Amino acid sequence: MSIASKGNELSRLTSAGEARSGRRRELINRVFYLACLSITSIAIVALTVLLVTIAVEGWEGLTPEFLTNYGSRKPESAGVKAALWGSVWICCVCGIVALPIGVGTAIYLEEFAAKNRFTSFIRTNISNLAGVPSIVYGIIGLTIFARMFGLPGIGTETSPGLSIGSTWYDTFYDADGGRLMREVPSRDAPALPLETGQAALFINELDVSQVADVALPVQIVEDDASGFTVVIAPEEITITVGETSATRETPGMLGESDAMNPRPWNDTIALMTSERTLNEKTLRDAPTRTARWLEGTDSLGNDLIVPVPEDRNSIVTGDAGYRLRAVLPRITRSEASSDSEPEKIDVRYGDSGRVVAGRSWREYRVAGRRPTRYVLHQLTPGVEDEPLANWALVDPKYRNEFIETGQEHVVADVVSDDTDTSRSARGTVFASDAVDPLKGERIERRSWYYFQLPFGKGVFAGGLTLMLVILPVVIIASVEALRAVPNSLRQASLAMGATQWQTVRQVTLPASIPMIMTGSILAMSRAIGEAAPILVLGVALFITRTPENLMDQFTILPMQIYNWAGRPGDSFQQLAASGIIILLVVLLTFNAAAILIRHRLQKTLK
Amino acid sequence: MHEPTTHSKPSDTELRDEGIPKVDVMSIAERAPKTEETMSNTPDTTPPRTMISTRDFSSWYGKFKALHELNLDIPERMVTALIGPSGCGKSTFLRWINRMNDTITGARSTGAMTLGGEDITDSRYDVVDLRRRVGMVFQRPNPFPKSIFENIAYGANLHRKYSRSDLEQLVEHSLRQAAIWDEVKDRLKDSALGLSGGQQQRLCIARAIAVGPEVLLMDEPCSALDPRSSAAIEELIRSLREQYTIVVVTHNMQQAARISDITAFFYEGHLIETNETEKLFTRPAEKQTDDYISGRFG
Repeated sequence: MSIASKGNELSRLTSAGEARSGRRRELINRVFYLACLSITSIAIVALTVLLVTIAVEGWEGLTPEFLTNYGSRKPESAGVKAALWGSVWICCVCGIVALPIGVGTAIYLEEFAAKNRFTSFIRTNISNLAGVPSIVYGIIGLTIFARMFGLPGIGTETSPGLSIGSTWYDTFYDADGGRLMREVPSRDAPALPLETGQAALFINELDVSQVADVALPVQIVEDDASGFTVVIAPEEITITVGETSATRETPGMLGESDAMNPRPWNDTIALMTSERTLNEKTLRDAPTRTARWLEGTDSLGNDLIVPVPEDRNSIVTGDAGYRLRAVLPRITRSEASSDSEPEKIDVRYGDSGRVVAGRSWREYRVAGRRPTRYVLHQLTPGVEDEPLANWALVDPKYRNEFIETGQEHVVADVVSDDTDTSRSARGTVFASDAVDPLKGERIERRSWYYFQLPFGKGVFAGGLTLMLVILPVVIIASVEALRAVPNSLRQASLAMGATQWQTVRQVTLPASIPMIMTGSILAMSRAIGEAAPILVLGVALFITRTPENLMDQFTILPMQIYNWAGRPGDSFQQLAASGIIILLVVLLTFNAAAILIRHRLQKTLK
Repeated sequence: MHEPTTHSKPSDTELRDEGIPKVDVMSIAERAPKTEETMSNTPDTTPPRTMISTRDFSSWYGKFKALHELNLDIPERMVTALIGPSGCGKSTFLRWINRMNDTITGARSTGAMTLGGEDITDSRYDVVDLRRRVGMVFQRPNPFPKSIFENIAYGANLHRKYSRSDLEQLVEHSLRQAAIWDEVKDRLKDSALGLSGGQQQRLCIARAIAVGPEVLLMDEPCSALDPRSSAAIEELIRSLREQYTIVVVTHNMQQAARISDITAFFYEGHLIETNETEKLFTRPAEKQTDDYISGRFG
């Protein structure tokens, strides 16, 4: 009852229970310590082995040339310049976009938004988004940025609805092969689905209501070998054909001359073009700019002028409708006439009025050196199959390879229609740089500020995709940084009559910016190692130049490494190792920058 | 003329001879018509005007009613102390005067609270302007992680654009008035976080008066300080009384008795009694007041 008896009771209780063995406790303590130590050592050893292996393997390849060379099929001349600069560009875009958006979102969530269910819902979702695999963001980036959902009017990647900063030139070649270039208004220029140095020809057999001579930057080539007259125009041209309102629009251009099969129309060259080109070129001196017509000369030497209605849907036909055929031109280094002056083309009516003989194309696989070669044959009813020309047509999927190796191949994909002579054949012809005698080619020069909608698979779309990947992380880091600012500072500022923005700008943000920068830069260094989203975006791998504008194509270090690592042969493995070293150096640079910035900013507060 | 960063000696002594240059602070910081009135009234014989007045003022946090139909008049240019046990609503009341309760979700009020005749509970009343007129000093000193100079200049710059020399003068006079100038004049560029707790609190007071307020709210300004620093703050409050209407929340009854002219006793959200401090402490009208001040509870 008394204090003394309570004390006795307490001392009895504290000495109750069995005493633990001191040595045993000491032993367990020691075992646990050793276990932790060995686990840590394993991790460090594994990391060291990995780094040393890479260093040993890749060290030799780390030459100055490795940094200045572009990708190549030959390992000895391969380098990372394109990939390195691509990575730098991507990261710049990513950081410049992600920082303001991320910090702004964080400021809104932490400083302005009411603390209600909706806000916490947003927060939860942002945290969840941080865990979404980056490949998912690749798909989102592809849909939103590269393609912009394919919205009507916005165009496609290759023929953008809006393009700023590009200049178009018509190129011609003089007799000596010199290049003459003439600038054309960019509005006039349809986007070619091809790279510079390539040309496209779309072939169609069409019912043509009117034929006319037109002035186009086209080249008329007499091919001695085949006897064909070849008309080459680099544009994809929309042709409106038809006799009445029942018309169709067909992309393409036409031209043919058939010396081998004398026909009433055998020396006819018919060329169709869009009214736009006509308007700008031929009818430059037309009375009114809105007038559109086709003009030409018929076989009797009469001038033909046919007005084209505004809606282009009802081109008035003459007496004779014509069926014209397209001929695949043979693209050679022919000594063709090459005036930049538009040619006057005679248009002649056939005797029989409507021409009905048709053609179709058939592909033949040629057992040759290259199993992928095709030769186009001309099929005319009643006429024996004959090779159309000395063509080497290659499956389009080998296109890149042939262009890259610079061999003199042209590549075409041909949709053929074997039997039905009345249907059209359509083809695309690609020519590599090496076989670049194409006349009248239209090329595009892009300025550094080139911009297009949709963004396509360029640097900008890539950077924005990576921005999606790191945005949740940046937001979370920024929110945490803002939350770490003592509330008393906000109160002090508000109590002096500061607005919320003044408080954020002058008190909260300066106090939290070191933490925000650290978090953001760490997120950026995650972004620079990401390959998956860019892979999904589907950028080209063989790039032999650095990006010049935000819409330019690019590749990045992780993709380049991935590509090398997947190839057989030790030399490529070595390249991959060298690439990894470069990537690690870039990463470490980023982290060092993060630390430096943090110290700098913290020092200013002292 | 004035260069607070270098401090040529003659100008320093010159200023000290002038005593506390309160007029300068007011004229620099606040050129509103109110100022002239305040200045001309200094030799005051008429009964004090009411600065803040509440009628049937109640306040809620969500469903919890924190204040019950308060009717309280706070006179101009006097120190009014709010005392009472923890949770009695005195801080809540204080925070309504400059509407800092706006930052708390679920806080609302009914009834009227007027400042110089204007209803400040009206949601259309500009809260930024209100807080400029009603400065606040918190329980714990909370200087910004900036230099001493920037701390003072911060509030002033929020509302007006000053020339560099005006700003330097304003900072100096504010610090002088807060009786901390001599301690910090040689290190205005140093971080305010390097000051001691008491110095920080005086810096916060200097920061508040640099904005040019009419009312100063102090929420237990000495509770986080040692006795010596507390004494300095009390001294400061007494000296500021001539120029500002001061409302102080305190747990320390001796402190309330020492520094205040009027004391209001709060209990469980009710205003029990308000009177001149001397009368309230010597002859309380209510039993609860008597119990509290004599230490029987609280």
